[in-house]
This record gives sequence, structure tokens and C-alpha cells, in this order.
Amino acid sequence: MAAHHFGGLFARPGGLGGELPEQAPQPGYFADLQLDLLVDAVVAEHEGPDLRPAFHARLDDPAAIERRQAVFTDLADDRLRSAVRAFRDGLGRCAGQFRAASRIRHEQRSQRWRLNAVATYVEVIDAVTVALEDAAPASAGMREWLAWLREYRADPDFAAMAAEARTLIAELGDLRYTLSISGDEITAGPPAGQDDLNAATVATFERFASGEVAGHDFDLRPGAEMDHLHQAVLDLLVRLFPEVFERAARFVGRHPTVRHPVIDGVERELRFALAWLDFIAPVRAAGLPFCFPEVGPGRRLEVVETFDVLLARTLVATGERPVTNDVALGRDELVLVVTGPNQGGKTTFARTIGQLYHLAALGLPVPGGFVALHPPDAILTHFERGDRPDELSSRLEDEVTRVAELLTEAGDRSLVILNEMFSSTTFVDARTMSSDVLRAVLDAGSAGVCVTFIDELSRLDPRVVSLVAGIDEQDATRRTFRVARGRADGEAHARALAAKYGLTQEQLRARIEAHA
Amino acid sequence: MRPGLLFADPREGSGAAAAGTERPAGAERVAEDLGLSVVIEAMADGDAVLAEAARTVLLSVPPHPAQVAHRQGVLADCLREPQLGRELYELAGRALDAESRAARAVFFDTPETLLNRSIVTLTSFVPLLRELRAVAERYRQRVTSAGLRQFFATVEGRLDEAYLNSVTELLGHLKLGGNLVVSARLGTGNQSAAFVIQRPQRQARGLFRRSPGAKQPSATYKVAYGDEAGHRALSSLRDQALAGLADAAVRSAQHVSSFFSALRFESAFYVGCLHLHRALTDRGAPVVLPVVHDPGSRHFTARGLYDPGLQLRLDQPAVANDVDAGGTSLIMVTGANRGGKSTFLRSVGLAELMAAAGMFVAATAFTTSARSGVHTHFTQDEDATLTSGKLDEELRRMSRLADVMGPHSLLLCNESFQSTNEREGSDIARHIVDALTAAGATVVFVTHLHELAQHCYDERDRYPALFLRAEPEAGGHRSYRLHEAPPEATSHGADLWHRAHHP
Repeated sequence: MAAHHFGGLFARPGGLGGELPEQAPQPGYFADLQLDLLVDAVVAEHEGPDLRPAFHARLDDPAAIERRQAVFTDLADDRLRSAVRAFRDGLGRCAGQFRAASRIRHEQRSQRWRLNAVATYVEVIDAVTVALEDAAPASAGMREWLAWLREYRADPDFAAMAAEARTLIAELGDLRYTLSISGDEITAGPPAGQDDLNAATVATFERFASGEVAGHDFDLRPGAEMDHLHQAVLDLLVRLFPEVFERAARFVGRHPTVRHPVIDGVERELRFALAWLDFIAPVRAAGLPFCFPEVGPGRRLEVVETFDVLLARTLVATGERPVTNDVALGRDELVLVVTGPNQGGKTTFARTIGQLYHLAALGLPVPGGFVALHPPDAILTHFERGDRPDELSSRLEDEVTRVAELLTEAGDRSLVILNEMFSSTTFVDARTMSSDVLRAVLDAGSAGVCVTFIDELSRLDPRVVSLVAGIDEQDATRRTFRVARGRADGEAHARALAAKYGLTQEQLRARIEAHA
Repeated sequence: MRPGLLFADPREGSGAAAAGTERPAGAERVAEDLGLSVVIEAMADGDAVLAEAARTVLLSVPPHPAQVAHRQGVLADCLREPQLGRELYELAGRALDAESRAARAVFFDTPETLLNRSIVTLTSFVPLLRELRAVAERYRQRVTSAGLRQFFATVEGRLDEAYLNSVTELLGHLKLGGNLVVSARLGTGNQSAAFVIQRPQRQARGLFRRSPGAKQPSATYKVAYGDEAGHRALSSLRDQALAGLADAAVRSAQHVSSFFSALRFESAFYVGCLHLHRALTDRGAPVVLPVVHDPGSRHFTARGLYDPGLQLRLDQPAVANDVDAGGTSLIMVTGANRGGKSTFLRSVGLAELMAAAGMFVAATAFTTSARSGVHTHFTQDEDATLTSGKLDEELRRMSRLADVMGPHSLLLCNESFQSTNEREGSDIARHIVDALTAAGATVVFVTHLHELAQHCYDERDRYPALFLRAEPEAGGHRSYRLHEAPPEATSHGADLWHRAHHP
């Protein structure tokens, strides 16, 4: 129908890329960074076609990332977000109505479902256009879509279809009749105008009502035989009101399908966007920040208040919140070396940084108050896999092979994440080997995070930043802790404890006064 | 329609299930710490319904002082007319029994059976509503409280004979015969829906059947003889048609029944008060209706304040204390072990709970500002958590209290934060006490932490506080009475320790 070309919310005009891929393999670092678990959790709550490939493919062009970020910025508007949510849900309902129609054999019932499906589609298109006009979006993607929608709706074929669908639904809904059920007979006739016993009952006892009562939900699942009876009753009505049913039949015959391919494409993009926004919503509601990363061509890493988003989802569900971390690489700094006690949150921190690069390169709002980084050409990870049952010697051999391979791919736009290398060998050997690896990463000019129990690595080179993961002495079961340059400041024991429970003087006073 | 015996404004507290009484988090612990169960047992006198009502009212979020006055008025009427509360309680109980009898007779919840059950229930309610009106007419001139006068006026006005007759007439119409006439419209799948039962017109029915299509167009479908599926479907359609009416009837029965259950709950509370009143006065113990001022007004004065829970277990008079803590928001209690400190703490807590509930209190005189809640932080001797230390447990419990405490709440601390060394415990407790009193809360703190007590004493000009001390045994005699005195450095715990280890 509509003439002008529109490639999608994310696709840059002129074939410059940015669109969501239909197919994309899972990157090799997904399991190490637990991005596989994250993406599973994100798509778990959403129906429809598999969205995983959309979460697999990084963008490396800052302009394409920014086009997506602009769409997400528009979606920060509550009204616009609920409008596109309604758009997505409405299209799902429309598809369901077409499916229902094809399952039903009875003529007038099947036609009714087709009619409903067309009407739903028209409503969805109308509603989303109106909502977009109201919200006046700023992103190129949304504005181009709105322009396309205007043309599409103005098309005379679309307008005629919309009007007729609405009229037919209204006429069918307005039919009123009386059924008399007596013995084994049902008689349909015009409305009788007698007293309404339901209303009389409610009115008589209304004076006792002082709040909502439960009522009773009857379990009236209609069986297949019920379908048959409803059809018999409908046949009576077709005899009483033949004309409107005939018009409905002709209408659905003229409109076997309705959806435009552009609508399919946008729906998929919005499903992707909403899946992420819905996933982070409870975390955001708990007061944790999300931001659009500054992405530029120059190598950069500056992060304020970031956190592990998957862990945060689990924690906020039980009213807890994760610790957030700040980190920045100075001008001549390349690699973050993280040391600290076991269970101190080192690995979580390394994963969080890795995830941040990936999520930023998808154009998504990412966990953190401020994030600036470069879209990497490669994300290379090496995580100790403790669950391997192999012999120690072959395990080490396998590890050496993998690390050596990784180093050949590292360049000055790559991100390297190394977690507890060579733990299956002696300390002296591990120190020597790890130092070599770290030097190779530095020489390649890659940005990196290296989690290690070898303190010497943190003093290897001026380009290395030493970070220490803290541990809570009172409760070693807590899973996330702050990671900071140097050693954390030791607060007085009692005060630290009080702070942990929100009971310092300031905290407590604020909590009590909040209940005024 | 609400009895309104507990709440002057019937809208207040109509949210929660029984009669609108929300129980704050930690209420069970408060009950346990204060030994409330002894008081509740006396109120119940063996009746579980009375126990539940007493417990619910005493532990719910305290109402506004205006509601307290409302309840004190109703309570005064009930004390003057002891049979009144019992009559209301017993009548409401009969209504609820009739309802459960009707429920027991129904095994399948089809619309038709539930409609019939509701008709039976509502029919059995009619004479009881008439009886309630008789009670109202009998007592109306004999009560003076706004609560009861308003309730009786409502009953006489809204449950008049004409209304009760119209109820009986409607219930007659609801007994439908085999023929249904329903209005309907098309649902989203062209199936008939939105059924509304029409009042049967008995004379017209025969005519209608004999004249299909005579004046108005109509069409008839007949389920074939022997078509079992068709007959099942027809009875399902009847169910669908009746579901709306059955739902209206079920809801109606629930509305009336929730009126009776509110009446039973509210009258149960006053019957409980009568029982407790008799139990205490039979022992010669005094009770008094307290004076409750607005929240935040810092009133707190007591004469002859005793622990009713202790008194109910004793034959001689329980120890009583006088307190003049008006204008302060901290009472710091120090001194000897087994010197009556915990008993005092319980007497304060129970008096505040009972005053807030609108009851009399165990004292000869009692004046307080209204509290937004009574909270306890008592040391837990039996605590045996392995995963975290005892101090952790105390802090976690304190943090949970901070989740619910407001500026006008009362916190009773019994030897809190003594599970660590004195320095650390005092430090933590001091910050907590300072923060709470600064926020407007009132704290009564029983402690052996001398640094804490001394700190509060040194700061008494900036933060006014009352300091009470328990005396050790002297010459084989123990008074258990507290007296006003500054904290003392030596711990009387030492003598206990000494005795335990060097007998």
C-alpha cells in the first residue's frame, strides 16, 4: 500500500546497517561472561519468535549504536513505551484471532474471528500512530516510522477497510435478543423488556455492602458439545438477523490477510527493545541506575556505579541490592588487575565489565550511572573451568593452547578478560606464565581485566591498574562487594556493622521519618 | 453497613478482612515479649472467637485518639449494661452458624446450587435482622455513647419492616422454576453472552410457548431425544445463564454475612473487656480509662502502674510504679537484676497497647500521647543462630523494626546490644537511641550498658530523659519498685555472677 521505503527503526537508511539480524551464532565469550544466562532470562518472559540472535550480534559502528540508543531514549517516555507495548500485544492478539478463525469450521463464527482480527489490526495501527503523534519522538528511527504510518493510514484502501470493520463489529455487538430455555427447547426472540432479576438482587442487599466481597468464580469451561449448542443458537440468530451476517461474510472474504511487512519488521525491533526494558525495569525501580554509554572510536573505559544486571535482578526480587562499582582507565592505563580474598566479588566484577562492552555494542541502556567505552573489535575471554574432570596435566595443556590462541587475536581495539589463569599448576609457574600473558596483552594494546590471586601481577607494569575486591568479614555469604583501587578503607567495626543494617544515626533517622 | 463499634468512621479499617484491623509486622513478637497471652486468655475466658478478637484489636496499628475516645464510650456503656454486649455477640454468632449450616449442605458449586444455598442463607438471616432491630429498640434509650446510639439508629432506620418484607418477596422471586428467560447479546466469538435473568411472568409463559412467530419473529432449536451431549450442553447453557444471578446472590449473602461477622468481631472485643475487667477487679486490682492525647504531645504519666499479666497470676497485689515522664522521649532504666525492670517494661507496653485499643489500663491513673505503634527489642536468650553472630541478629531485628516504626512510635528495649563488649554495644545503642528520639519516637530502655546510660544522663539537658533505677536486695527484702535516680557505674550483675560461680 504505502509507497515510500522504510527499513526499520534501527536500520540506517541507504543500507548502512544496524538492523537486527534474523540469524546470528552465539559468540564464544557468551558462556564465560554468563551472557547466555542473561539473554535466556531476558527472552524468557516473551512470546513470539526467538529473539536470541538479536542479542548475539554486536554493532561496531558508533553511528549504528547511536541510532539504536536514540530509539531507546524515546522509549524512556512512559506514554510512548506503553503505546509500543500495546502495539506489540495488539499484533499478538490479531495473530491469535486469525489462528482461532482457521481452527473453527462454523461459518459465521469463523468469519467473526476474521472480522475481529482485521478490526484489531486497524485499532493497533490507529492507536500507535496517534500515540506517536502525541509523543513527538526525537529519534530518526521513530520519526521515519511515523512518517511511514501516516502514509499507510491515508491510503484509501486501508481507510475503507478500517471503517467497514468498525461498523460491522458495532452492529453485531448491538444485537439484543431473548432466549427462552424450557425443557429441551431454546427459543430466540426479540428483547422482552422484563425486570432484571440480577440487578434487583444487587439493589436489595446493597445497603449491607461495605467493601469488596469475593463472589464466586464458576468453573464453566465450555466443552466441545457447548460449541455445538452455541452454533445452533447462532443459527437461530442468523435466521432472525440475516442481513448483517451476510455483509460480514462478504467483508472477510475480501480481506484474507492484512499485515504489512514493514509492520512485521518494526514489531520484531520493538519486541527486542521491550524485552530488555522489561527485564531491567524491576532493577531500575529499585533505584539502580542505567545509562546510554558514550561510544567513540578512541579506546576508552570509564564507568560509574555499574553492577551485574542478572545478579541485580535476583537480589532486588528479595529486596536486596547489589554493590555498585566505579572504575576508569587513565590515559596510559590498559589492564585492570583484580586481587582480593575468595568470594570477594572479583569474578563478578570481571564479568560485569565484559557484559558492559557487549551490551553497549547492542545499543542498549546499560547498568551504570555513567559509562564511556569503545565498541571492541573482539571480546576475548579466558575463564577457569573448574568442572572439567580431565587430568591436571592435560587441563593445563588445554589452557595453554586456548590462551595462546586468544593472544593471537588480541589487538588494540580488543577487550581481553582473564579469570584465574593457570590455577592448576604450581604458584611459581603460574606467576611466570601469567606475567608473560599479561605482557602480551599489554603489548597488543588491548583493554583488559585480569582476575588473579598473584599479587605480583598488579605491580607488573605502569599500564596496570591494581584493584582490590573487598570482603565482608561479618557475612562471607554475601556475593557482591565493592572493587576499588588500592585497599578499602577500614571502617570501625561497629559502625560498619550498623551501616550494613541501615542503622547509622543518619540512616535510621531518615528511615523513621519516612514513615511520618 | 457497618456496626461501627470500633471505628467512628466506618470507612476506617474496612480494608482488612475481618473488621478492618491491620496487624503490623513484628506484632507477634511484641505479644510474646510483653506476655500478652495471659491478658488475652483472661479476655477470652475459654472462647476462641473472643481470644481472636482481643488479639486482633490489641495488636493492630493503633487508631487515632478520636477512635480511642469512641471505643472508651462504647466500653463504658457495655460496663453499665453487661448483657448488651453478650446479646449482640450471641445473635451474630447464630447468624454465622446458620450460614455454615447452609454451606455444609452443598457439595457441588454449580450456579443453581449456589443460588439455592444463598437463598437459604439469606432467608435464615431475615428473622435475625428482625431480632437485631428489637435489641436496638430495647437498648436505644439506655446507652449514651455515640458508637452504640449511631449503630442502633442505623439498624432501626435501614432494617425497618417494609425493607425486611421486600427482602422476603425478592427471595421468593429468586426461586426459579424449570423455565428460564434470559436476555443476551453476542460475545466476541458470536457466542451468546452477558446473560441477565428476567423475572418470570407466570401467566405469560404459556402464551409465549404456544405462539412462536405469532406477532414477533422467533426461531426455536430443539435438542434431539437421546442426544446426550446436546442435553449436557443445554444444562451448561442454563449454568451460564444463571451464573450472573447466582453471583449476585452469593455476593448479597456475603455482604449480609460480613455485616454479622463484623458485629460478632466488634462485640467480641467488648465482651472480652468485660471478662478482663471482672478478673482484675475480683482480685482487688484497680483499672482506669486512660487519657490519650494527640500523637507527638509527649504526655506520659502513670500512677500505680502494674503488669496485668503478672497480676492475673498472683493472689496478692502486684508491684506498682509511678512514672512522670511528660516532656521527655526517653526513659532509661538501670539497676539490679531481678529488681523489677522487665516487669516495669511489660507494664508500660501493655498499658500503651490497651490504651490504644480503647480499653481501660492496669493503673490508678494513666495519661499518654497516642502512639503510632508499640515495638519491642528484647534480648533473645534462646537465640541459637549458627550462620551469624548474636549481635548480627540483634541488628537485623532492629533494622526490621526501623522498617515499620514511625516518628510517634514507642520502642521498648530490654538489655539490647549486650551481646558484644560494652564499648561497642553502648556505641551502637547510643546512635540508635539518639536517632530514634531525634526522629520523634519514644524509647524505654532497660540496660546494663553503663556507658550508654551515662551518655544519655550527660546529655539530659539537650535530650530530656527520665532515669529510673532498680534496687538490689537489701537485708533479705526486695521492693521491686523503681525510683528516679541517675545511672550507677557498678553493675549489680556482678553479684549474680559471684553467687553462680562461688556458691
